[in-house]
Amino acid sequence: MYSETVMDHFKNPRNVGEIENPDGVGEVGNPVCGDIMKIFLKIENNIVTDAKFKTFGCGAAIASSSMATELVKGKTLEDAWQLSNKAVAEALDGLPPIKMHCSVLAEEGIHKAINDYRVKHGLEPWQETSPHSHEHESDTECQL
Amino acid sequence: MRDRLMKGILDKIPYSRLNGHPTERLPGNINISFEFIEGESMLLWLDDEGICASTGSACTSGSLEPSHVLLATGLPVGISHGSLRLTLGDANTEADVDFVLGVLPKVVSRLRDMSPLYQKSAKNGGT
Repeated sequence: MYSETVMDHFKNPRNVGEIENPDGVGEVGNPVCGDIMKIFLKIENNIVTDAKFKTFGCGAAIASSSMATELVKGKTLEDAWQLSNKAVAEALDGLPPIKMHCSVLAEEGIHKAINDYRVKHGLEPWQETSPHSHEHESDTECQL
Repeated sequence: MRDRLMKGILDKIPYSRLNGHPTERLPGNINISFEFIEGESMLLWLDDEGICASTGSACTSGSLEPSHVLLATGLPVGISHGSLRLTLGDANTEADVDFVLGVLPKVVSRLRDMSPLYQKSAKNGGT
């Protein structure tokens, strides 16, 4: 069902844990849906210098969190914001269609953490340009 | 054998609860919910160890929805995501029970360590 890369990131997740005094935190999902991701970012001079996560969810949710945190490390905030759920899923060598919402959650978690940082610094939060709520049927009924 | 496995799991793993009646149930059947974790990730690890289990009934294995039966028993939906069904058959041995009792607590604890719900709730004494 899952690619080898998904299983690798599930079984050996990168960046699990919390960052002490993070510069940005984003928590998305809810327990009713069965997925919660919490993303922690350390940001210095507009660069994501560290990223960690805590996730409650299925194998795809854990692997997506692991891959997304890997992909944003070292990026500028602008580039990290551009990370799409598709890029996360592709980096994992694909996700089953019913699990694509896990990669969406990872993108949203990163966005929320970046905006948390921006708001804390008196900046306008960036707007989502491509809402994902209609891309996948399985969790539309799970939006609270 | 079923009772030893059931009691062993409930004793060894905090924040676990038995679904259904302790004695008036099918002879080989156990269904237990573990708070703060999600069932599929638990199954993947158990499968990796060679333990075949299920998160729900066989008739709904293609579904991501929590068991409608567990929900009907009043189990909160967030906790129902962390449910595990173990079914023993006549080929299972006491050694299998020991093996599961050795592996399962480690799997649950590994997943709880990465769950954002665990520390928050454990501090408040669970739900």
